[in-house]
Amino acid sequence: MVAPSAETAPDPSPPAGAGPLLVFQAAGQALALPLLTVVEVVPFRPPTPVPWIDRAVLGLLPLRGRMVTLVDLRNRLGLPPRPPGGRAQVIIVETPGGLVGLVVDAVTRVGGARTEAPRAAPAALGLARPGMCRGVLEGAEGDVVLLDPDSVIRGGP
Amino acid sequence: MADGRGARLERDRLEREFFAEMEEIFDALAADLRALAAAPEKGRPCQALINPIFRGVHSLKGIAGSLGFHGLADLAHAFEDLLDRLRLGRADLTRETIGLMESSVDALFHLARDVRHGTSAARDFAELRARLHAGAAAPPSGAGADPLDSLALDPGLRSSLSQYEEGRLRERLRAGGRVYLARLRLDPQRFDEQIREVTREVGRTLEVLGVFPDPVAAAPGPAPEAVGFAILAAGEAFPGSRGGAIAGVPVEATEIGPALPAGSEEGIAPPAADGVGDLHGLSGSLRVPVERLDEVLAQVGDLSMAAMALQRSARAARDAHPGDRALRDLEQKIGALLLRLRPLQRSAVKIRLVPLGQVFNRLARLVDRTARAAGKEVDLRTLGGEVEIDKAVMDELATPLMHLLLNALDHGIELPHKRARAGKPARGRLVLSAFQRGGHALIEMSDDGGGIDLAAVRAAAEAAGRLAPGAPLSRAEAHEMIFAPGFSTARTVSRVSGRGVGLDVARRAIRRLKGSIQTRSIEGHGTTFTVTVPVSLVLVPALIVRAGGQRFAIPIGSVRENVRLEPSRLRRVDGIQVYDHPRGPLPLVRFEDLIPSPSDRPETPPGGYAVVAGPPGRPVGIVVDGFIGRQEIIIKPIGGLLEEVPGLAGAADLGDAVAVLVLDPESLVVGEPHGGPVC
Repeated sequence: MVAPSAETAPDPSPPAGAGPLLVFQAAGQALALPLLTVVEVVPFRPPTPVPWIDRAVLGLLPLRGRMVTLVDLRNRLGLPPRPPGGRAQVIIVETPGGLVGLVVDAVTRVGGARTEAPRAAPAALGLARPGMCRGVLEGAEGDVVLLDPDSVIRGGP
Repeated sequence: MADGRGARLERDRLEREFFAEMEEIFDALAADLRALAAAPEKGRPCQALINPIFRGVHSLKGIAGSLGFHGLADLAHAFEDLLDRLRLGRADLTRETIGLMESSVDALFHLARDVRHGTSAARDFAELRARLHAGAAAPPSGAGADPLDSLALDPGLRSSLSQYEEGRLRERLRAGGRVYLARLRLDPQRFDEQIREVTREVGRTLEVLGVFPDPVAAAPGPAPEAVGFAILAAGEAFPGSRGGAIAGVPVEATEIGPALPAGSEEGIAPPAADGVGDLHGLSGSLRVPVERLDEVLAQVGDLSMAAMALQRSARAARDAHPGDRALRDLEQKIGALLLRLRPLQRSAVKIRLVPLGQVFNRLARLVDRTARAAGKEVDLRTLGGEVEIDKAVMDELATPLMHLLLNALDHGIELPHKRARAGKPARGRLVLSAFQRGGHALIEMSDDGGGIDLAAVRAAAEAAGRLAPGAPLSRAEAHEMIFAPGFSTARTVSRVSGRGVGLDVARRAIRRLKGSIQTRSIEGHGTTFTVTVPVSLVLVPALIVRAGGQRFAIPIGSVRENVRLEPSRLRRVDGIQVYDHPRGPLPLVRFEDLIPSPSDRPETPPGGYAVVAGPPGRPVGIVVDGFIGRQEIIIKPIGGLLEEVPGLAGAADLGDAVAVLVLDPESLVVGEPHGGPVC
């Protein structure tokens, strides 16, 4: 049988559109990640800032004995910054390099998509960084932009 | 010569350790290739993605070459040539090239496995080598997309495919094969035997790509006790009827792959049936227990932190009610608990410590063979092999030390006749020594060779366009330049070194360990590399300070003194704040300037204190607002996004669910913001 190893660790990017989705909001935009990539969702707490790093990386937050690197999803996608004081949630994703938390405005639902194959994201969506999207999926409650977890986390393709 | 059996055991152990390292390199290569394949197609290769693959293959070549596995070293060498062209932009990165790279990694893996198991299955990689040598792209595949995407493959199953299995599957699809997934329901009493029979039967007509546990198959069905497995196979037609039984086992096979028009014969011969069971088993089982130990250690540590937080609360409660006897009793009991936790934690840390002699022995075995290959005679002396470091640190240290050793043998120590002319004994001397300083181990590798030839460094730097002709080059700059990626003074590329990656690989690996490397070299007399690494990355006594409005932890081992800053002695040099310390100018790190912070933070008054820390000869002053205390902390790794941040050893939770950054003064760089390669 195939022994578990780094090579067969959970792949953060299963085929686009496959399986259930975690749908959430950032700056009024409905976004989604494949649910398989998500470990859990926790409320936002201010992290410890880290020197010498890029602005989208907000800092570190301990979570049950491990350190989570928080990434500001709005910043990553080129969306306007979150107004101070508002509530936010953190989507925890397991990556080969440890836990990463994507800070979003609010998680809205878990669900499937009507279409399995995403269509290309129209420029009209106003996302400054289309490279981080896999496309648009038709959902039961409107269209959602399916993000590519890997490039959102790393901030590039 | 030592007695034959002992030498054999020793060689076995040595090889096992190197195979473990190779396995890690293969894991990294698989991940790097996946990242490359996921990158959008561009004409020019993306340097940042090619370079790690190049370094990995280079390390493989080094290990294989020094162990005498020439087939493996030669193939790695050919692969490296292609990668070299790619990273220099002399070859286009196409899907076909990526396919070729995948086949090459698969082939290397295969060879490594054959060597490991002593099976010298005569695999002929002549065609692959020819394709690599030509640097030519593979014949264009039907569509540009990954053929795997066209399979109706369950994502869970797909993600459990190894790189090798994916590679085989792609090859099969490109060659026009059909892919089948056969679900089996097996008797739990004799399922292993049944799997073997079915696999053998299917293997008569198809290539069995993998066997996976398949819980789906077990759920329904008449026999509730059945165990489910799935066989992924490719070829022409599935044997027998797809819904029937094979070797008495009910099999339900579905074709999940497209039937493309048949293409050419596949390039690499399909592996024998041995390909099923042990694709990953290059090394023994040592690594897994160590990881489990990590877990235990982390849990023990978290428990201690929680107990310390409890102690603080109890103390606060008692301070609020000084007369309460029950509270005093509670506090005492918590204190007793902490007292018992401490030795437990220490024991957990100690189990992980291993003597450095283990890695020294591995290196010693390389010296003879490598020196002989280079036509040199070298004696190695080792000192301080009893110094203990964490197993994880030692594992990571083997590769960089190997590169330093190869560098010393190849470039440091001269050929016998040249040594004779310089009035040195014909046999070169290499001294590998270790000693402990605080929480760090210092490992020195000294050779009595020719030293770093400043003129040769200058010539190579000018030839590579790194230095304007005639521009000044200080000794320190030259010593820094030898670590630059792709820098080499060697005119020929040998099987052991000369591509200018070894020292780059070494320094990167040492930085990943939050260590540092220093060079001292005297022309004509030799070179000493000093590697400083933390003894353990796990539990460390640390000084907790407040700086720039937040807490930081500084490992005690690297703290030298605390000084009170006098404002009159502060000045700025090239944008860096420097303090005129009585013992010499001290560059300062001021975290309030480095951390983007809320504007409501109170302005720190000028002055304050500085913690002087860091390696001798290169200390830094960390400006702090105040001292909080001293405690043992558990350093948690900080993920991949922050991995290359210099000066950070990790982060710790002191029991209040806030991350406290742990500084690593040994690798702290003053004034120079870290700029990683940007793709």
